[in-house]
Amino acid sequence: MAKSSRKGKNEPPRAPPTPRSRAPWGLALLLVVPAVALVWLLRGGTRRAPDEPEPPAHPAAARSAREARGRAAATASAAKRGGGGAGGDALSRPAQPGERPGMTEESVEGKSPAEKRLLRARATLDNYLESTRYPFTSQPLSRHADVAIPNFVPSVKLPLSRPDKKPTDAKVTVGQDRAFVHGAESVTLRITCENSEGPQPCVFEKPPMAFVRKDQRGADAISPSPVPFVPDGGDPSNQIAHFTPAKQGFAAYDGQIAIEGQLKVGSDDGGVSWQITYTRAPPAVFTKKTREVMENGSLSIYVGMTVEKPGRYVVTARAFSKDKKGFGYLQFNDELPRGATEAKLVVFGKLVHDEKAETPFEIRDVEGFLLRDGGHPDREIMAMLPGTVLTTKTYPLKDFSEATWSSEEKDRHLAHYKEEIDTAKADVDKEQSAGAAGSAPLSTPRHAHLPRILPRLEGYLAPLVVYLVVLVLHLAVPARRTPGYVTDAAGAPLRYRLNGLVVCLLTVGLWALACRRGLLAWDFFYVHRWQAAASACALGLVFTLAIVLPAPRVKESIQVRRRRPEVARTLLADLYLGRLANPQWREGLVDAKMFLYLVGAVMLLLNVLSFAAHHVLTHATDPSPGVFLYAALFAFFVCEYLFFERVHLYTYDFFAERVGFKLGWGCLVFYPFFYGVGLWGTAELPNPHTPLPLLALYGVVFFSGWALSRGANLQKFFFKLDPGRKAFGVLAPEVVEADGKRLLCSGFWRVSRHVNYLGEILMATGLALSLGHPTAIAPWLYPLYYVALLVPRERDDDRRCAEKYGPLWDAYKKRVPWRIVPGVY
Amino acid sequence: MRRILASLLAAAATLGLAASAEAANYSLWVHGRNSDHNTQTFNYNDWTYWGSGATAAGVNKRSVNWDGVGHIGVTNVAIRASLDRYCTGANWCKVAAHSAGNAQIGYALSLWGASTRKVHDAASGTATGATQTGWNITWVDVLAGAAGGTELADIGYWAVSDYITNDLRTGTVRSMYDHNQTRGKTFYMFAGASGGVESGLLNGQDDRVIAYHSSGGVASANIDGSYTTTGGYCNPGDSFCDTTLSMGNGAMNWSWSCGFLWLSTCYGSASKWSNHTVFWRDDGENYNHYTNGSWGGVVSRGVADMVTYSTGTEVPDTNTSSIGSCSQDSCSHAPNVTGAALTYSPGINNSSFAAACSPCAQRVCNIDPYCCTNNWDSICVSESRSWCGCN
Repeated sequence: MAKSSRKGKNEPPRAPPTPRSRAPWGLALLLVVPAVALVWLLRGGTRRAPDEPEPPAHPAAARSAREARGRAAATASAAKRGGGGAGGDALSRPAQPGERPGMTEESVEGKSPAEKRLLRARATLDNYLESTRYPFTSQPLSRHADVAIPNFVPSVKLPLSRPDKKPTDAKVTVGQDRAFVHGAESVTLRITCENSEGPQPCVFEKPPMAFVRKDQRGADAISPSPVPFVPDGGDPSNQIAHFTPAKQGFAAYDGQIAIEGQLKVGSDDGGVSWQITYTRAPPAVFTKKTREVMENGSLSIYVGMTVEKPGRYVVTARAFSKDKKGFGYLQFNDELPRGATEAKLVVFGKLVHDEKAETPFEIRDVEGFLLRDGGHPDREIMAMLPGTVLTTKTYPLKDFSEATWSSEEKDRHLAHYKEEIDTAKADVDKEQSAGAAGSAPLSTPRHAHLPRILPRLEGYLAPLVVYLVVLVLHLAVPARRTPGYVTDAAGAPLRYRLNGLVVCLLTVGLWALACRRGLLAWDFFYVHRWQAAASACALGLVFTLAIVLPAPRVKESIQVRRRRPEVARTLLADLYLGRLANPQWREGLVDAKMFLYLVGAVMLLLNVLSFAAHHVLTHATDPSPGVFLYAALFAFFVCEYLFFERVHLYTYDFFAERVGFKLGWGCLVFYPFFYGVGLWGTAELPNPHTPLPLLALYGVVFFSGWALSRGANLQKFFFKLDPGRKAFGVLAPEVVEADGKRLLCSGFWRVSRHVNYLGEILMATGLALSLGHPTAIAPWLYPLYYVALLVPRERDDDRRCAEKYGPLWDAYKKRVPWRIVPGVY
Repeated sequence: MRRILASLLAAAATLGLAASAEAANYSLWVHGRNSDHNTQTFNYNDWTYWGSGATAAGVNKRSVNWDGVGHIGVTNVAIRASLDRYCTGANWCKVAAHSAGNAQIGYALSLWGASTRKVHDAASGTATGATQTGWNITWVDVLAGAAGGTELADIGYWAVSDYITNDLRTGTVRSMYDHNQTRGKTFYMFAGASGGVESGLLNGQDDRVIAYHSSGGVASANIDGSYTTTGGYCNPGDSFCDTTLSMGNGAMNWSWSCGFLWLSTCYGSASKWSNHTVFWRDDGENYNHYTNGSWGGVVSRGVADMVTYSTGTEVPDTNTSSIGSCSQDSCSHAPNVTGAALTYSPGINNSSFAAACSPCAQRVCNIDPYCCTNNWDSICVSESRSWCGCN
């Protein structure tokens, strides 16, 4: 869909009315309006609606924070070598689809107390519903990310402990691989040392000692035991120790054990400590016998146990899908009798569906402890079953129920939350009917609270709704009637209604209004991008069939397929290339081609803005300026195209293309959903902190491309209007000519024979670079598409022109030797 | 006449039952560490920790007191008993928890939220005979929450180290229970940022005791996919932190230049515990950790919140004083002081006691036999406070 690139280089257009008188202020408007609109949309949105992000930090402050982080980088890299605790991405809960900042005090500022209660009641209900989609015993692992790894204890960075309580320049990051230890188990302790100059050796004066604090039971009977640390991997700034209480004098003890040491880090000295809770004997053991039963649409895993001490046991495990991806956090919390028994873990049916988990499942890392109803320690730890404890059988997905969890507890809560909402609503109604002073009208509830029509289909319906809105606006908004280049059967120019830019801005305005009013999530089109693209595909296909099949077969098909003139165009070819050349509805009220370009442009802009909004929502505290730049450039790209909409009537698309799959599907699907593929693929990535000078350079690349492309086309346009006139008042036309034919070869057209293609590729490159992820693939798909499209097109155009112009073309090629990129190609 | 009298009595009893069974909303306040020992467990009108009892703090406000220094696992029974009384049957609670009170309510919901609870008549504090799963809690306001621990406990900042301080070490309290498991109740987090001399000891923004990683309900930070930490979080625009504490429940992602000549980009990410959402962040850095005996600091924000959001009809509470039984009876000393092991006669398998020198001793030793076999130590005292209301 390279819009301007479709111009045949030497096709003689009719002279359209010149847009030059509007160009200067119009271009300025095109630069300013999208930028202002974008800032308004995104910044405004961060302040009002309850489900919107906070504004980014002040640039200067953000810079200093980055500098601080830069200084901290050495410490991070030091800690990275062994900062303690289990590592791994599993601990980082990814942003959940549709996750929003919840209700905040700022978001209800100015509301009356009743309104606030109503909003909180709704927010509370929302969260409860989200949490209780599955039973509390069978939850998504992503909702329990910090316990996804058994025994997980996060490390913590601390100053050295000193009697004077002053912060030290030295910092230690202390970690341990477990907090609860039982029987003969060992705990691994870690320490990483650093100061403002970077990593420093941890110099212990003597080995840290494990001991029981005096206020703990049995302290008098326990002798302190040394816990020597050694460099991990030979690095003295990163040390490790293994402590086995049972072998180091604590075998008869239950309770907290402290490990404390004095050390020197750089010029500072002070203390550091760790703490574990130790229980000597397990209250029960796992028998390692498990069985699985499909019950009521869920898979029950019965874990065999021999219980010595009856009581309340907490047993947890993690469920992994066939693809080794963890998806379920399973928990048992109930009373168990003495003797041989089982703890029941449940892989809930709906969880399997929603997490797209495939059997056979692996049940891993089964842990358990007896929870005491008082007393200290409050638990007695069982020996864990590490690794894969059970690989289940294979079950078809249909065996798992899709039903949401229900229970008396849930029903009780839902009834209460509904009552809270009803009560608050009644209070709001009372306030409003009484005209309470100072009571601002209740803002429209968030979209999540609105009754949803076909909630599962909203993403699929989105393109249809947008296209219908564009159609209605296109029909309703006053338009300029203008003749085009192509003619009807009688030879009269077809007439067009042009109002694309106004329709586009109105549609974006409606979208922004809906978002600000809370009717629509700012990133709706991102969240539902796959569904929207899929339904747009369907629309494209339906459109193709509807526009092609009723039309008569194409008679000039042989000309189109001149390489194989003996073969007539097939139905498939007709479907692809189309039959009708310029279908119009009601004497130009709607022109199929112009409407297709319009809906494609509007949908593209909405997608890009929504993708950018998703990035801002996901990275509210540190959004990427590159994303703002990308969205602004794309807004300019779309608006500039619509601003010069009239020029498009004189392009190859109008006098040579027919309306079929290529044009219809291209405009309804490819144009709006592929052009923004860069942000589609990178919206969730964090701010890459591209330096501002580089961002400015990328902007220059884009606008250089735009200047080449638009400048070249306008120069040609002016040349065709008046071959003797200087383009832009400065570029004197130079030509090669023979037999009354002339080819322009000055100004932009002196650079290369398809310098406009170079401009298109540069624009796409600027867009790709602006995102700041040069090693990601997605941003480069767009410029690569241009290369793949335009290089063959240039070859084809070169061949056609050589046939058409003969020796003149050779002379032109000598004058302008480069095809697209001067000095390269 | 007897018939009439009997009818009247029956009617009165019925009306009384009906009145006591009427649904009510309660505002429960769970305090934090309190080394002064000056709050009375099970005295729901004792507002010593907070400030004046006359201060409006939500409908039917009740002070959930515990001994303030004992282990969470030991003292949590007082919290659970209070929830049993006010948050079962037709009654519902909105809970405000300050500092270590955050760990108390979190622990109760996470580890005991699935248990069968005895439904109580809130007014009298007696069990009705009915049972239910878990408690009726609408939501929880967490004021300067310490459920993520404090670095001050890690470095032994306080001269007196008590049990709760040991529990509030970051690694200990974070691994004590699954913080994501709140039985679906939303924890609205209030994070204060008026720091002081302690700020150099705490990671990121702090209120002099608790850093944002805890008061903001941050689960853990993953740095460059290779190690995890509590992380340090700040207000927008502040330096020397990993990133800004985001409002709401959204995850946080950040990056910085690192590697050779700072040419690489390092990434960090952190998420809140499930069901935890930052409702208020002290961007003005005006609120510290301390109540100062006048509902001060971050608690003042919680008071305003409870007044706004915890509303309903006031109901009389006929018994807000101690419900425990803390008599010394025939024991050698009172249960609320340390001393020799109190006497008892063990039952079968130590699971019950046929006799003890006092009901409180029997109750404590049923759970913790050490107190009746070895020594009535400070843990036993803490248990007597939690189980018997010994103050």
